[in-house]
Amino acid sequence: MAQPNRGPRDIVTDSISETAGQAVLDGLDAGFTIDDMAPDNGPKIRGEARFNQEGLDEIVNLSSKGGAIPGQSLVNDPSQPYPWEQPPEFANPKDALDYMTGLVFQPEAMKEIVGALANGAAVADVAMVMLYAKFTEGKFNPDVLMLLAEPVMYLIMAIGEEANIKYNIGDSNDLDELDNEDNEEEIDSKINEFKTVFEGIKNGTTKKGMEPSKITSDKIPQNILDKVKEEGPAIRSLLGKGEE
Amino acid sequence: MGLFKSLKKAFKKVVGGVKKVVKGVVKGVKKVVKKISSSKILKALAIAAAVIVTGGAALTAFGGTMGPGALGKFGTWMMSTSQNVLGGTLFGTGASGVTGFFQGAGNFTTKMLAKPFGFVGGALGSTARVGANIVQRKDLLAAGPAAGGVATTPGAILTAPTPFSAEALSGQLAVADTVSFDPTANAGKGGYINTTVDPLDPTKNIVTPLTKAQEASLPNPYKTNIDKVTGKPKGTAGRIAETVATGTATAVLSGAALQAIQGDPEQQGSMGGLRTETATQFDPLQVYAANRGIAESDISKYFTFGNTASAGNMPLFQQQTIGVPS
Repeated sequence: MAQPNRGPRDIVTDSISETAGQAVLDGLDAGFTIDDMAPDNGPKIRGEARFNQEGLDEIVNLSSKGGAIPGQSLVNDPSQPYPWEQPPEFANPKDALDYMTGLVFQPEAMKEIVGALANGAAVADVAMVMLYAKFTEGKFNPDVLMLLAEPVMYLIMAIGEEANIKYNIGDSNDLDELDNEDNEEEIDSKINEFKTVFEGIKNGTTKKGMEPSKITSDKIPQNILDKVKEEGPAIRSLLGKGEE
Repeated sequence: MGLFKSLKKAFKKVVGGVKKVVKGVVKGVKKVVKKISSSKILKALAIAAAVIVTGGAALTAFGGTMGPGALGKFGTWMMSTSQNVLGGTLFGTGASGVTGFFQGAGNFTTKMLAKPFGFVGGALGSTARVGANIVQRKDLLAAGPAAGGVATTPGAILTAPTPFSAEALSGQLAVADTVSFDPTANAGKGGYINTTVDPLDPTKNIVTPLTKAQEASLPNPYKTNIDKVTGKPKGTAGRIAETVATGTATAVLSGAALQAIQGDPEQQGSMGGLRTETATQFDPLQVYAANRGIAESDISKYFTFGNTASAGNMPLFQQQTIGVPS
């Protein structure tokens, strides 16, 4: 465990994402390692959606239940409005976030969230459904819902990380997006490395200053020099033509 | 466009923003730390964000990765970040220029949303346990191995707690179901006993009084929750996990199903969203039709504009309109 050499710096941002990003960079700068912040808990569970006949049947059932006919809401009794047509329970986003955090951290909800992420549901979808469900219950208005989107997503992501799940963030197929970028970067860096070496060979820069007479015995162990002297021409170059 | 679709579209922008920041941070960290996987950086970011959003409650709520122990120092350090956000000191005091502007007007979201949240309690790696259970194809809430990774011995009086149980939330080992308090044991003084099935004759039980050491090892919350007169638990008070039941869980469960049927709002001609007003919503209409002797299939002809006579009570679609000269 690294010892931080200072306290956290002031951060000025306009979003939770930016704040978290800068906090991570600040933590690294303060002396923490990335392993301190995100310890390795072994291979992750891939949150991939698997075909499930039961689930499909449920969707078909839901969608075949029928819907409202156009104008139906206009004939509702005005004295019995829907919950979302009334003043919301939480007008203050702080209170709404407290409420949502309380719900997300409930053991039952955590269990379901972990299960959903492990089954391939995206963080954004889980957050959206939770927030929309609470909106329809009249807990907050759509504006507060949008303000809560980011923090609730991060709460769900933290649960996913704690459960060691490799989850989708935005849609159900971005599981390997970051890894693919890693691979692309690695391939690019290897290609660049190769190009540099190739250019070096091409320009003869690698040979510069490599005259055999300049090789001093203190650089190479004496036993190797003796072996070279002894075997002489019998030593073949690695790049030389092989035996026919 | 319906409300759900509008929200979904706006949500997509938030998601896009989050992904953009994630990628930005990944790039930023990679400049500082070479050869590191993006998923590790994402993990650090998610932990940091959760700590900031919850004002540190995430540290105690999870217990595993973020909680006390090996990560206590980083957690504490992050907590102070969170406290700075809460106290508004992130913006400095008495600054001028751009900083002063931010101090007064900026950082709206961060300042507004980050708040301490201290009542969650400390689950001892319960979330991680659920994840491990998924891998091991066990029941989601199955108890993990006891301390040190050793499987709980059959017949042991202390067992590993089931995830999110009261014991797990308070960081205690669970007491086996076989242990109970017998008011008549110990020559009428009462004492704890362990009742196990006789391996030679499964129809019989073996009752063993707990030794002094075993009794001492029982968690205090367990002992205080036992009624020494009846020998039974006092009730469910304190069993945090059992008091929890929210509609959120159900909402989350249907999350994947919702996503599958709500369609992509960006796509022209995509399928409509989930129709939350299901067939049961037609019941009032059926009553309305039955009262008036109207055929249900013709009901739309009888809708009125304004539901009282004073409000017009005019047939819908037939009310007067302003004539537009052709």
